[in-house]
Amino acid sequence: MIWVTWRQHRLEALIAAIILATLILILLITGVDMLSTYQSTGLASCVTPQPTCGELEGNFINQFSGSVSLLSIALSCLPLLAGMFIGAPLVARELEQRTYRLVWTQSITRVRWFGTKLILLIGISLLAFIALAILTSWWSSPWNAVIPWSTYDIRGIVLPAYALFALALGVAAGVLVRKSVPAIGITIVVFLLLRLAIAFLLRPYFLPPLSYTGSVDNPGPPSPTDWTIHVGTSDRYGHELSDSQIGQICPQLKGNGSASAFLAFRNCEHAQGFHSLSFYQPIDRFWLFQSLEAAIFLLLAIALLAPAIWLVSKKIT
Amino acid sequence: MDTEKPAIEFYLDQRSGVSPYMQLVQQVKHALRLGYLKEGDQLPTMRMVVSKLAINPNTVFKAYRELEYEGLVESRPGQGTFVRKTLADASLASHGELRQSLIKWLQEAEAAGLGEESIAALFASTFQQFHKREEIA
Amino acid sequence: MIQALEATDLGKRYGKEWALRDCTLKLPIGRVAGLVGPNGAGKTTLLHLAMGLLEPSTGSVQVLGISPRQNSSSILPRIGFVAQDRPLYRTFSVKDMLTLGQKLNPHWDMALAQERLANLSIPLNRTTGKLSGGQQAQVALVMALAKRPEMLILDEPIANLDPLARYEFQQTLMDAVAQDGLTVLFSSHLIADLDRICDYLIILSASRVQVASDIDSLLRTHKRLIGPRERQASIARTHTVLREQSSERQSNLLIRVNGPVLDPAWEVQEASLEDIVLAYLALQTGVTFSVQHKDTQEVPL
Repeated sequence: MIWVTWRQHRLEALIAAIILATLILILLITGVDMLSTYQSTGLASCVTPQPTCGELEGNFINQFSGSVSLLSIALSCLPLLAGMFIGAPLVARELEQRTYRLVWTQSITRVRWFGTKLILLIGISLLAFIALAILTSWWSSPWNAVIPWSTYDIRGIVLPAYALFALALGVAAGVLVRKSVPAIGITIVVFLLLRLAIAFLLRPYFLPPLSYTGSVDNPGPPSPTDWTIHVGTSDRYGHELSDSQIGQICPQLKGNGSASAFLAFRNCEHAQGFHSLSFYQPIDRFWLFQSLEAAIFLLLAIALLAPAIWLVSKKIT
Repeated sequence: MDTEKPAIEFYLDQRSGVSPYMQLVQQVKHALRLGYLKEGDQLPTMRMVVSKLAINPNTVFKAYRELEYEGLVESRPGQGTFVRKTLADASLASHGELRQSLIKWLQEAEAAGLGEESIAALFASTFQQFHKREEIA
Repeated sequence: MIQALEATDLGKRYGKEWALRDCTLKLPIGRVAGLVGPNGAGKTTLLHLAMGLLEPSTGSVQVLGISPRQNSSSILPRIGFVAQDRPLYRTFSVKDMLTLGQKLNPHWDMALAQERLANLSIPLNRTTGKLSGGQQAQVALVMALAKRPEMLILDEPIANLDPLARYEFQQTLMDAVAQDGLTVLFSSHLIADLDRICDYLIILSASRVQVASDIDSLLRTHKRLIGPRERQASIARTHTVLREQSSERQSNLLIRVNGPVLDPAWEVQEASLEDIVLAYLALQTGVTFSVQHKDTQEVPL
């Protein structure tokens, strides 16, 4: 069955290997570039809050934001691609091409057929993603010294977890609708929905965010390595004010964006005793959050695979 | 694979209305009568007949068993099925002469203007009458 | 005694539609059985139930005494199966298909497979998608045979093949039966080859079993009667009339005999297997099969 799985999927394996190799090459090249720039500009030995650090950081970010963004997009797509092209056709193709009538009447049981395929395809994919996550962690380490949370989705343990989820989702969709193309469609929709929902609605609140009250001239969380969830303005009593409330009390900016208007606005805020109020997640929660999110996707994957296995062995056709 | 040609080549006529097993039996008897099969000749093995004619092995088995029952062939375990008795009798010697007179009669019939079907009909009805006369007598 | 296939009240339903129902039959070991019936009669359903690809809605089925769904790992090595349209992995070469068979079956006989394919001049390195229909059928059959099964189940294996390919397939099949004593159950909607190949017949029509019997006994128990039309009723009282064609004075009946036909007014002839099968197929569907004679008046059953 191992040979059969390999022979059936060897084209996909080849394409995946090529994509992976290309990505690894790009990561290595840009990673070395980032690392050497990080060290040669002195950013490595620079510790905030020295004034020159801010400028060095700004330059560094400007220089590499383009490639980091592009690679982030590519790396974010990879788990979905795995789900679409490895997961979805796994059972669906066998059903829609009706070759199940051939392979399920050889001497192998369906459970062994399905189990072997799952273990091999998902197992090898996971190994690839784990290796990739290790590489991206190395690649992004200079960047992470400045803004670590921005690479959350493409390194660490969440990357393989996303892949596992996408694969399980693809397989389950294929078992459910029995045709590859609709299964791919379902995989895309559900994957994006869940990833976005968890990333934007759940992740900021895995633990209650910490709050920080500071001057309106210098808003934001204490450290640049913190993840800002929300920044607002509070009155002298610590109650957060809405934008319209601020505008009523200090209307200097209405219809006037000049520097003098802005200065007046600031003076008004100081006079009113306004402070900046920010909610954030500190960097020391980074790995805890990663673990929680990975656990969520792991559970989702299991919740998808278990009924899929049951359906294939008991019910289908 | 047999390198020598078998003593008899079976064929099946799908449209004849005769069951396949009966056709095999008849073909063996026909060959025996005309002297094409002689004592000691080996009939094709069951597997050879089956794979050539694509017929059910039971059919061949039944046919050979029927012939064995009639004493015409015998099966020797491990060797095959062999002809035991011929149906050709002394009359075989006169086949040649009879064939000649038959050809002469056919030439006369053609000369008289009879077509193929008329010749066959004439022969068939005369044969039937002759047969009946023999039975009554 | 263990039967090759035993079905008891077997039925399969999809929603409200029954694809097969009230199917009860026993196929003895060693037979070459034909399963005939019009399209949609439930032939594929029956065969898929026998292979454990489907779960029965009612009743049970056993192959060689074993339930195919519950004990698939013990029965599958003993049955060779070729599904309708002879599925193969189209991107695999013939050699790849044989390797697949070897990896997935415990008693695979690779030498047998290669020998049979060589005898048929089928190249091992051609992809199966590029083979002709007849060659694909042969590859599928060889794969089933190389499992060294005790029984073969084939679903319309020669449909859509040209006559020569059909014949060559049948040659391979019969040769394997002669060599290994296989039990064979194959479905077909071609009737012409049946009496040459089969010794057992199952007729499915309107999703029900109409006939399940040795062909010899079918031929013995069905006769064609020709006689005066006014005496038809007395025949119908004793025997089962399956089909009739009547002109004004004469009746031509196909009957299942229940005892001897004593009335000398009736001429008794042998009925061909084809006639018998057609008569049964026509029964439930309400369609009367007719051969047009002059002065014939169709009398629906």
